[in-house]
Amino acid sequence: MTAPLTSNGTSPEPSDLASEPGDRSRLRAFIEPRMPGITFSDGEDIFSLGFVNSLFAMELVLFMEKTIGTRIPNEELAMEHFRSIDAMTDLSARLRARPTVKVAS
Amino acid sequence: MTGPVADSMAAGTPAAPPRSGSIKCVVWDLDETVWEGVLLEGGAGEVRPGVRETIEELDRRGILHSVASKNEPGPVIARLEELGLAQYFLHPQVSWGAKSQAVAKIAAALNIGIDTLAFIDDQEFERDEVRFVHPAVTCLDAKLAGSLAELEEFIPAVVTEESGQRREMYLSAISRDEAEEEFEGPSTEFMAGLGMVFTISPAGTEHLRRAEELTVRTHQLNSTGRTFSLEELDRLTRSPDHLVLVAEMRDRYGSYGTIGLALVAMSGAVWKIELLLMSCRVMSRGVGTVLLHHLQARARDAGVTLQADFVPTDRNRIMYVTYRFAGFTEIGHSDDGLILESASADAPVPLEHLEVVIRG
Repeated sequence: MTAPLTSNGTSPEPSDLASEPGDRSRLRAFIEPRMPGITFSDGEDIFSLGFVNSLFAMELVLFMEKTIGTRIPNEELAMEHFRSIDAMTDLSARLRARPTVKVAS
Repeated sequence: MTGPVADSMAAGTPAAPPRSGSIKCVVWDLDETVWEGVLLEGGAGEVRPGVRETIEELDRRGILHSVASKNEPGPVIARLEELGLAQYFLHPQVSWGAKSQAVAKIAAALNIGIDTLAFIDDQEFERDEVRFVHPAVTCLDAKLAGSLAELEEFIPAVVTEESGQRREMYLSAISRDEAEEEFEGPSTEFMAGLGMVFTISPAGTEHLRRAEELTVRTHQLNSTGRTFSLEELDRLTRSPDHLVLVAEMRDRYGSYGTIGLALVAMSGAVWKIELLLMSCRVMSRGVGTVLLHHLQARARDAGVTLQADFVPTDRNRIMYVTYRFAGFTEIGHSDDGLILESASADAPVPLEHLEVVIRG
């Protein structure tokens, strides 16, 4: 128990980043069905719960790229940026904030 | 009368030249093709000459069989069972719909490219219909049914012990998928109930053909796309400076066969993974990282640095992500790609639904 939790068990939205308000809830909606029966907070390390596998990792990467509309550069593809909903929300905000070439869809 | 092999002249569509060993599945018409006569006219006779032998021989080579028949399903299955042929046909399509649709359904159900299918029928109309919708399908006259085994397209470059078991593996995959569809709980519980056992062992002579085949057939979970000949693989397994490991997997429905390969060059304090690959067959089972984690543990025990070559292709990004999520970082470039190094100090979390057995 480190970060203060709100009544619904999620951390407050970091306000200093160019975060899209929907990122956090969209990520949760994407991950929860893939981890049925497990409850986790936004700050919790989801990879410590035994769900590390290539397919899940790739799905997460592709989902985030679709949401933010850019390809995630190699240097950002580190596990620590995908460990928790907090970390992924921060990564989304960082990527939205930088000028990048849009991915053709 | 139509031409000898792919009777494409009739439709006016130029056929691609036959590629040796290109066919992975034969889709059979039944009336007047597999058996004499027409079933629903009360006239289904015996199996046509050479057909049974052809089916058995192709099965041994790892080529699958299916059915596209305009008929009533019940009597067809009963007749195939009487003839002792039912077990050979995966995903048989028996209906009054177009055969082009049946062929497409079979390719989708087997998850193989439609260009790897052959379709054989005595009726020119049916062959033309399938060829019109799917020009890549090899369409053959039933007159050739007894001699398919002699055609180049049906002669695979490599026939392994596992080739002859390919049908069994597809059958266990079908039972597994059906059980998964019926299972109502979370998929992780289903996976835990599969009793998956992942075995890692040093590659022996008996693994080499399959290892060679994997280097050619695997594209997504493949770190460098390098292919190795049988002779090279044989030399590497005997070399004291190389570690060649294979991974096999089975569960309570049967074996998935040999599904992974790792090739590591060991020189002093640095081990380098020159090739790591995992078959797509097991991608949805969450085992893509198991072999990599094993190498990390092994390098840690040996007190050496673990590096990996990675050659990006348009299909293997999932392997890059696998390496990065296992704690590898980019440390430089090689002639054709990147060099990654494992920075991970602590042991990764083991997968709960999987038992890992290490041999040798």
